[in-house]
Amino acid sequence: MDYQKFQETIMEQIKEYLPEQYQQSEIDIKAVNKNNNLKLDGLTIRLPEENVTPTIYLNQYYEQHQLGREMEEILSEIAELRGLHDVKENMTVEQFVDFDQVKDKIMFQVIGAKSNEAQLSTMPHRKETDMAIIYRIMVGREEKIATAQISNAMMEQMGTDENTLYAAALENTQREFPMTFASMDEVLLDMMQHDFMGLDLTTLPDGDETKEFLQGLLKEQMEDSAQNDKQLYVLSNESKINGAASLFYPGVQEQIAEQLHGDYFVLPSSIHELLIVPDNGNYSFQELRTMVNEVNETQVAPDEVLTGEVYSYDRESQTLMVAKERFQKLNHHKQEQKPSIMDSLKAKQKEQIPETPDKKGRISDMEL
Amino acid sequence: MKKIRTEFQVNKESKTVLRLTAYVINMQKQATQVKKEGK
Repeated sequence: MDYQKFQETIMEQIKEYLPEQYQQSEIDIKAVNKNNNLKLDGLTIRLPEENVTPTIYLNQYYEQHQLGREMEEILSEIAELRGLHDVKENMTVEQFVDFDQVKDKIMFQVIGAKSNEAQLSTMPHRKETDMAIIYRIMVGREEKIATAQISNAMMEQMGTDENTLYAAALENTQREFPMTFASMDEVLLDMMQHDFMGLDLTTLPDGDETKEFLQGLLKEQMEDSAQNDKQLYVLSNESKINGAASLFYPGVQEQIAEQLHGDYFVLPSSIHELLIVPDNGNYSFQELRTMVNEVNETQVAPDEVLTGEVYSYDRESQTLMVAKERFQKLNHHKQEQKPSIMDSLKAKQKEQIPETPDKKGRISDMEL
Repeated sequence: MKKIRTEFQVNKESKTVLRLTAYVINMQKQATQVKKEGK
């Protein structure tokens, strides 16, 4: 079945899998521009009275179908997803563009500026190195977070400007998504405890032999890697969604430098989290940059990639820069300070010309 | 503007573990290489 036929089948048959209340809904598929210029096909199942509808992306389901997953199974899952993701707060479009009504719901998110250049021209944003802060309205928050992106048109209708959006988002994002900063070992240990080969260790009672054995194994593993003096830290937020934004909470960059007692590198692991590596001479930014690009290509979903750069924070000047640019600047500065070849030659010649004796025939220095 | 389209933002824990583990493995490889070169 080709992709066109797949989409048609979904549109024609989905209602058979949906509960009674969705039988009058309007079914539609629209191309959606996601982060990093990724184009996906979004299915919406909109109830007649609904203004806010979740989007279900079909591309991944087509891939699954090509790998042999039955249409029936896919249709059932989509129908179930739609029910689960019902937006409880049915705001009207007028409410969405009424700044006073949404000002406490405006959050910010960080994305790559270069890979989203075209999209950025259609939405309010501000640049931070080669990243960009964009704004979203949070309309629901349960297990997942439902948000709508703020476009230039929406901002205009709100009668506000980017500075005002930024001020509101800064306050709300810090409150709703508090920053987390922990060593990689702690983060992985915590995550693996919740999903150790499909088993949530935290649900097992204390004293359970399997739990104690597996936890011991995990801790041992972590302690081994902790002995490695090249510590890694993870910066994110409590929900682990769009956690890269926490680098731009006031004072966070300085706090990290204080905790690590020096300069550090920032690795854009994804839009959800950043990695922090103390700049203690163990790594060059080129090595780290190669690593970032390798992991981006192999382990990060295309719409979750932040950038392919490494950033460097300088504690003394309290500045965050793209590492490549900082080191280019430093090299340039060094070269400026370095005398030119002609200057060096002239200086050398001067050194080699024997000093002329003074009137009394004395010279100040003699080579013996 | 008639309707608002929302997105459900998620971050699957299993995907995060894969990303972070990839970095840990790469960093360890790098450290081993530095040690070897140091010798």
